[in-house]
Amino acid sequence: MGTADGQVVGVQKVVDNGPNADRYNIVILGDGYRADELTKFAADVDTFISTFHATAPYDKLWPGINIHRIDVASTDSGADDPGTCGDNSTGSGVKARTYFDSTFCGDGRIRRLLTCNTSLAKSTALAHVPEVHMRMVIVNTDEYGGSGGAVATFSTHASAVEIGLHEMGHTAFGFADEYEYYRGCGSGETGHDNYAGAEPVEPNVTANADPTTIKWRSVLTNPADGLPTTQNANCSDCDTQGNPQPDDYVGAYEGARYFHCGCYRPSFNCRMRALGNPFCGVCQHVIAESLQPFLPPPGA
Amino acid sequence: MPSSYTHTLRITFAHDGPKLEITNVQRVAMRAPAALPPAGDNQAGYWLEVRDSKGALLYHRPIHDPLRQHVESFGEAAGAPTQRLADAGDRGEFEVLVPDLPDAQTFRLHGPTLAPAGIGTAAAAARLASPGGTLSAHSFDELRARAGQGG
Repeated sequence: MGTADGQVVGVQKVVDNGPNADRYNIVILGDGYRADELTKFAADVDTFISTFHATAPYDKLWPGINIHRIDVASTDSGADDPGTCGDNSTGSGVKARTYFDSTFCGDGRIRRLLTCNTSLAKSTALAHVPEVHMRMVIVNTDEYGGSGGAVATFSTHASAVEIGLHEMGHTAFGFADEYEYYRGCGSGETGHDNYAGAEPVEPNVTANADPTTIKWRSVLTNPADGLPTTQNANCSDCDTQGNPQPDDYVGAYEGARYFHCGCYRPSFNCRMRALGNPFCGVCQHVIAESLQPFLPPPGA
Repeated sequence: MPSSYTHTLRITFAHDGPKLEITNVQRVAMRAPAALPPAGDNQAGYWLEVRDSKGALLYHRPIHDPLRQHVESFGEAAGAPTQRLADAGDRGEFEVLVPDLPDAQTFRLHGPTLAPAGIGTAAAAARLASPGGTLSAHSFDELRARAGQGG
């Protein structure tokens, strides 16, 4: 497995909005595509690009983004699927000879943690696109799975693209997780009741719910409503109340950054809280601010 | 942040337990994401900053979990809640992108100075909430020279 099991066969700039030196460069590599499946890889990348382009706020920032596709032919198709995993799940036991060694159960504990050789993915992307900002690896398997870190890795399952978008939120924009636990609501975990620490540096969570000084005061939907928008009545577990406001309302909802109380998120839901949701208004604002330098001048 | 810069420093860090060091610096003709304002004088989490010779802040951006203390589990199927588990490894590397600004004098990486404490413990919660300290500090002259020498 590894570089002996494939080779880079080509690089295509599939979204070209200008010189790499001036634009935000995303590089997408493939793993588990044989040479005769690279047409499929191109199609899978196009599918991702369509989803990405339609995801707010990237739709409005599109002129500032380049996307590069690196075609890598692996000896075998797919990914490793260990027969056993620490979560007691079972797999086919297949060992696929692929360039980036993609595997489910990547940490030995979680079946859906689909990982690859991120060091090789990073260096391969850098070798072909020195101006790379964000790397992604699409793995040629329709089993649901993915992972984050410096390289967002996800399968071709229709919902796995959400993993890539969430992880890009972390890697590219420094977003915190907006869910209020580690192991889950009702898991009985301890140590997550009350956040009483310093103000989080991440732009999408806060310990300060004062509407005049909250870090996202410029995008509050209606400051006159007052903050917080919701408070958790039982800090020993997740807040179970519904959203008293519309889905896109920006206020301050208690429960975020792994704590049930004392830390707030901007909207009831967001892709950084649960996959399958749009980015909240604050995340969209921060993405737009971050990518502003890459946009062409007006009229260009 | 001034728009009149042409290059960005790609700084690679390696961490091994408590040890954190720069292993490579590249100076690339590219732009970096825009600066984001600090959350205050005391912040929890990881962030990088660039200051001029007078100590004025020129650039600031948050970084999420660069040392990969945890892994995210996305559930058994689409739509399942996301969870976090402690990462068994304590070695790895990460990159940061820092604009090579004309007046840049110092670069610092900030983050929790308390020792890694796994997950689900009082120590882990304290680490999440603690104000960040300086984890790495370098002059821009040093970084540029290193990039000029091939990393």
